[in-house]
Amino acid sequence: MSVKRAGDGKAAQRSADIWRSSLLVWAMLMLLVLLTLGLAYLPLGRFNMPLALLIAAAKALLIGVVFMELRLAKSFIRLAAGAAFLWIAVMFALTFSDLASRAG
Amino acid sequence: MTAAALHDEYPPQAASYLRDGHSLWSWLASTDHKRIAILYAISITMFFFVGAVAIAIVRVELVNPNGQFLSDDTYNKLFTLHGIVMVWFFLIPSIPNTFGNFLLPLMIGAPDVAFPRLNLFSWYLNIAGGLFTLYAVVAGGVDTGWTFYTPFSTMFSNSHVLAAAAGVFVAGFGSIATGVNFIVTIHMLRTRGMAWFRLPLFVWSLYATSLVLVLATPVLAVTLLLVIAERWFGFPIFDPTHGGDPLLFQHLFWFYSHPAVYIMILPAMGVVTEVITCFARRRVFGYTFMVYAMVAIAGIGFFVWGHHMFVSGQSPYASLIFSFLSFVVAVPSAIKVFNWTATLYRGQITFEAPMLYALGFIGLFTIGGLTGLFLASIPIDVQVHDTYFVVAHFHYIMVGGSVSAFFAALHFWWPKITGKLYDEAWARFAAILMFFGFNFTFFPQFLLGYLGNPRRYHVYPPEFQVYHVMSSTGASVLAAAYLLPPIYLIWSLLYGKSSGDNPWGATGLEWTTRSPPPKHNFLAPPTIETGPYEYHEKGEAPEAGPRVPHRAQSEPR
Amino acid sequence: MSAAALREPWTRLSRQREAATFGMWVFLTSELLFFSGMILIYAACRYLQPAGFLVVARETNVWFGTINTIVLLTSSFAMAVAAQAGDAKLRRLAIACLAATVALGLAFLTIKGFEYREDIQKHLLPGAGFAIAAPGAQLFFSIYWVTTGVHAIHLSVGIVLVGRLVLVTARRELPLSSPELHATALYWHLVDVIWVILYPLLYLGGRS
Repeated sequence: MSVKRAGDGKAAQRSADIWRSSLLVWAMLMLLVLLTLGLAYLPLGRFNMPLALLIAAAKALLIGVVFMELRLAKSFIRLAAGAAFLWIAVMFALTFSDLASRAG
Repeated sequence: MTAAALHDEYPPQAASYLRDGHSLWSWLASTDHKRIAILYAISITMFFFVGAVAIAIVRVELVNPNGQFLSDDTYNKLFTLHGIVMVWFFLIPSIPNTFGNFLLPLMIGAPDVAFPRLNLFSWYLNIAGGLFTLYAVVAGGVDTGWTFYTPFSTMFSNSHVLAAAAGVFVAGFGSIATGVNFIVTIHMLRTRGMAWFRLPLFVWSLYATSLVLVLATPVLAVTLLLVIAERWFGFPIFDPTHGGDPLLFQHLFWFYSHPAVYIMILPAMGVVTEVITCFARRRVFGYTFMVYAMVAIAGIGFFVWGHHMFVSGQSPYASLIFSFLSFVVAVPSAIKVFNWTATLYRGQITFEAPMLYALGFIGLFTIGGLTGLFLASIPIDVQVHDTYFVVAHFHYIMVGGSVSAFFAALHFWWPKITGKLYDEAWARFAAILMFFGFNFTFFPQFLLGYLGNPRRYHVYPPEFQVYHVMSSTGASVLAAAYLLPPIYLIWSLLYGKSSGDNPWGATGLEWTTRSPPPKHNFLAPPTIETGPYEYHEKGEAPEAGPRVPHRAQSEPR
Repeated sequence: MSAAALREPWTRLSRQREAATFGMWVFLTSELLFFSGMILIYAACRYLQPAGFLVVARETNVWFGTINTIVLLTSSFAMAVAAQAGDAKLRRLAIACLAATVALGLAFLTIKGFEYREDIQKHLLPGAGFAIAAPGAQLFFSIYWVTTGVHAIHLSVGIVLVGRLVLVTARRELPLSSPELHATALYWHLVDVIWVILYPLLYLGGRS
């Protein structure tokens, strides 16, 4: 990862910068956990699970983009990450094309 | 010029990789991609013999419609062994891990692959997986077929499914490691001037193969893990009595195993392009289309797996989608066959052994591919599914195709790897014998399947005996043809003439360095200024007459 | 000190680090496909046995699951700080955060251990004597045990890798600029992402 940090020579300042961005993400993640836990107890019928998964996707995106530094990564790395999801989507779609269309 | 004198001429840093350490440990702990390639070559040859002996016994047994000396159970275990060993321990590693490992850094001008220690570790994973599998054999065998279908494998088989599944699981991670290594190597270690569209097509084929290795193999791993969990811990997953669906296993299994066949064929296609361009003295026809075709095969190949399940209970609507996509995936393969043919046109063709194998590939792969289209058509598949027709189809591609290409590669790059020449007459004879033996073995199987002889059956109706006898006779010719190369190649190692750096006059970057190459491949990193296959000027065909001296890819214009 | 991290065939550490990051992402792609196979089985079985899945899903201990989710997310936070601290050459911060990551990972496994014990006591191990008779119930728990077990194995591997990093960086045998720091961080975050997806599937069903 050849990312240069704009160091101004003061370790304490650098340290604070690092804490700040990551702490913000952590706080958002904690909020999302509490949110998803709370929503699980609301009677939303068949929307409960999709909503929970949406929140999970948001958490995964935060971790991926910030903690895993996808926002700073070169395009072929983002391509690798994106390719995984495309292939997983196809695997699900074509398998369910069978499951969902069986007679009886 | 004697071999010794040739070696003395070169400076010390050009000392052959073969001379860099002579102990067993220097080989087993080597991170040099060339030595690792040879480690793989030795192990896949040993596995090949195991798989070949298994099926030799089967073919002898099948001469008689009622069997001869095997029990049904042993018969099942033998064809299972043949499938598992040949697929995972011979075909999948064959070209990528031997020729891919040896040649990839050389072809892109790099001193090694991106992660040399991971490369060595991948071989050990392969060996560990192989040992698990061999244990399964020695302990009594597996009888599920190489496809491990549930619920038989999870609930009813009394054979050593766990050990075999574990073996394949472990070996799979070696495949993934190889895929990761090759992708990063190709992205990041190309020498100056080696742009993506100047890469030889063998490198592109390794890239496409590596994409498949990385994306498909983990799904196989998890599928086998679920089979192990169900069988070992009794956790119902595919168990219909608990509401599970055995067909789910097939979906996950074939999600890997169909792309797996592209792992087996794409590198072979890459080899064929390298050999044909060299021995026809021609640039490849349609380089860009060849690249996109390979990437398309790798991609679309992931969307066709349901064609293995037309009669398993899959919904007709899903079957329709899979059938359509299976027709689509044939198109890029066909494009490649057309382009190879066009490459031959107006070439100065000579028939050295590698070329004989490559030409054989084109014919046999075409037959295999066309019969694949028959199978993609649902009505035909309903008739011939689980018959010898399918067996013949995939052997035409995997043996007629991939194994032919493997031998083409072996003969083409033998001088580069060993610095020696082999006996051309014996090599041509073996190639032709292999072609005839192969067709005698497998063509009758198309007829058998069409007429209704199921596969994996120990006994068969007597009216099919003539085809089985033809097939078994062909198999003995094929076996003889396979035994010839080890003999004359070992002879070549011991007594063969020195080959010089570029005995074929080929243009690849690997031919510009010594044969055998020095430990770090090149004395200085080469700079590339031209594309591959510059056997003649663009737009002009080489006319018949004396061979024009070639110019290799890195030599100045 | 940088020379210790540089390996053949690389000639510049920055290229080697880029390669390690890229290589690890390619490997993580395969890991994502690995786990998604298990999730596909979950989705398919849930599709086939919706009533059974709903009934049995509430048998998992949502408190253990939620606490573990918080623990693992915090460990990702610690790991992210460690990686950035390594880039900024803040040695002590990096090592402290790596150690915190290990500690949180071990905490996860400990809590998981207690959870497994409770599951066994409640007869939630599929097989004879399974607690719930609903169709599809044992399917759900088979998937629960396999996915959480495989996740725990991945986490253990991560703990070993990060623990090793703590030791070799503290003893100055490996520089902070080594590619291993970022590569290991990526692996750790993936283990977290997997859990983040498993959490709703295994713990939040059937609660309303």
